[in-house]
Amino acid sequence: MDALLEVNDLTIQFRTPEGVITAVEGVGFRVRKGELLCVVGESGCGKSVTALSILRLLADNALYVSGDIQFEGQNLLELSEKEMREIRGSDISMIFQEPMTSLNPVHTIGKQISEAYLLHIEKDKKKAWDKSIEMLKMVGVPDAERVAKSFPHQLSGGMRQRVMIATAMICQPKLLIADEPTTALDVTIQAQILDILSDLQEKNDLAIMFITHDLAIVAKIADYIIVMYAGKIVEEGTPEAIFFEPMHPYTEGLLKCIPRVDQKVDELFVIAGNVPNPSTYASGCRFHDRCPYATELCEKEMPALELRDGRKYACHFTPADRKIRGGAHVD
Amino acid sequence: MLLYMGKRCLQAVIVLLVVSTLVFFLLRVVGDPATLMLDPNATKADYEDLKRSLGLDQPIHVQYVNFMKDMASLNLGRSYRYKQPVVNMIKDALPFTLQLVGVSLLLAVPLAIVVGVLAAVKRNSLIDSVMTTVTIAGRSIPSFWLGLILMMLFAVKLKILPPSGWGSLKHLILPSVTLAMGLATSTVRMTRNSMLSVMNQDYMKAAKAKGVSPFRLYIGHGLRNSLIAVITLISIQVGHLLGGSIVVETVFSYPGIGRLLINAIMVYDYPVVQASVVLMALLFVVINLIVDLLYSVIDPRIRVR
Ligand SMILES: Nc1ncnc2c1ncn2[C@@H]1O[C@H](COP(=O)(O)OP(=O)(O)OP(=O)(O)O)[C@@H](O)[C@H]1O
Ligand code: SF4
Ligand SMILES: [Mg+2]
Repeated sequence: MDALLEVNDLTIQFRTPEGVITAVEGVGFRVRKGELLCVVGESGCGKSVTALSILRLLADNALYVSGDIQFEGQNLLELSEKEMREIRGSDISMIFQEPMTSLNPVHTIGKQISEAYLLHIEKDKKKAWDKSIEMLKMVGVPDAERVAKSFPHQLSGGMRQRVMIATAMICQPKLLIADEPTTALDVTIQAQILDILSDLQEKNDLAIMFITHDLAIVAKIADYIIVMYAGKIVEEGTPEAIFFEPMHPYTEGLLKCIPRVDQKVDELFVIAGNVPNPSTYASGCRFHDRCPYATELCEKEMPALELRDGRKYACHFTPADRKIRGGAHVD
Repeated sequence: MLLYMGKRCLQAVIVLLVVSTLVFFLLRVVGDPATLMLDPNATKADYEDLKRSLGLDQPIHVQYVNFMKDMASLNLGRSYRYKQPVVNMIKDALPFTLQLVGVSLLLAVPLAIVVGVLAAVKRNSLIDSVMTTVTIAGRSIPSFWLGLILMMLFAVKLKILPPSGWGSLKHLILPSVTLAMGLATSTVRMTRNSMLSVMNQDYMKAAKAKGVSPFRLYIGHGLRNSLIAVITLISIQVGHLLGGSIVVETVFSYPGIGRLLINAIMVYDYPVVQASVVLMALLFVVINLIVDLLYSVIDPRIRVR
């Protein structure tokens, strides 16, 4: 089937007072109709930048250096700002990480939900208001009429994220970009929000690009996974492949970080070191200073994202190679 | 809300009480009106008579109690110098000051907000740098000096506006521009900065993601949030504005409360000084109350409290 969204070789830089930094480099992926794509990676690896670049919502200092973003066959990067506005909130919508700060404090909930509807579909304010109440009911908000009249500060974080989903869904988009929509919420609320999203995906044949740094969530919902590290995709594959047979040492590390029920708290694994800052990206493999299998080659040469034995990953070595060499890895 | 307003009104009364007490005692410390009112060859007896007739011979606490009673019953007494009831003098002068302050506010605030928004939206552009320069200049020039410069330029050199006095709208232009300048420049800065920080908020990005136009984004989503900080600034600046009106009225010989006050201070005209100072305080308190109400109109988070 044809891809709804196809991103090819996307490279994004930012002009900063310290010079130009490359936040995202050569990233490519596709999302099909009704499919849920997960983007995982630690903080600062370029997930949000990738997501925002699709709707062209990046800050003014961003430069699209290369690549294209095809949505239903048209390159979004070639559209005028006005054409882009018609797509935002109608065909593609977005929800954000922070439900606390993503709603405008001075407007009622109903007004914020119905805004996109008024812009794209219906001029009648009464109808739009009723639609916003319908949307609130759909995302499981009790007492929707009252909530529509209230202001963001009167709602809990979970409620606000439901409001965000209602806002994003009101025009029945084809693609929903969800940038860590559950990160700021506690676990039970997280599960509820995930249920709502999977429900929407099924009922509306909605494609979702779901961004998270939490692999445990990904396991439940993803149709396809891309793993990002330091602005690049280091591995991609189906959930089965990624979870049962990770090919990249970084993915391996991420998987080890997922707490297991049979594990003591003090045994929680963390990948040593930090995500490098874009201004300090070196020429070799960007994971080399944290990678237990790193060799001299890794420091010198950047591995390309290649298809090998049916799997796509960016490492100079196959897991088998690494096993033979051993490496300094301690479990 | 009712409780809140009640609290604010109580605060206002306390402010007025403190101000009247302060002005009462300060006046009695600085000088003796009787010595100024007598002609040079008056006798000691004349002096005592005068003091008695003014009620200044009584012990200070008795004077204070009488003063407070008079104030509370709006019995403002007669001017020592002009012998007319102070109420009438205030009644004559107040409209002038209200006009001056009102026109200055209208001149300064809306215009400054528009300019501030423009500077924020087009930040680092030519417009922004010009605004920044003008506002810095505007802020660093003291108002009496600005008043004199404007007077020289428009009244003396160009002769298109009257240099001083009152009577027509034209007379209001120079004083109100002078008075408005300080408030306008700080409002521009505040609007610009507050707008810039609002533009970085997540909800602005979220609004943009819905497909709103830039105008709707800045005005519908951004401005109202920025106004919260701007209103705080204005409520602080109101005191400066009233103080400034005293200077401006004096520079332009404009017959408002400010000039009345200055003239009265020169001759220790107690009743006039006391009444004008308390009136100024009252104006300050009232404007602040209005600003507070504006807050709750703009920010729903304050409304519920
Ligand atoms: N406007 C900008 N100017 C300069 N650098 C930026 C800008 N926006 C993002 N970056 C940089 O780009 C890199 C990637 O940021 P991004 O927000 O995409 O990370 P992320 O993967 O979403 O992380 P998180 O999990 O913390 O949200 C970061 O190093 C960040 O500092
Ligand atoms: S290329 Fe080298 S450093 Fe990079 S992930 Fe593979 S083994 Fe580790
Ligand atoms: Mg992010």
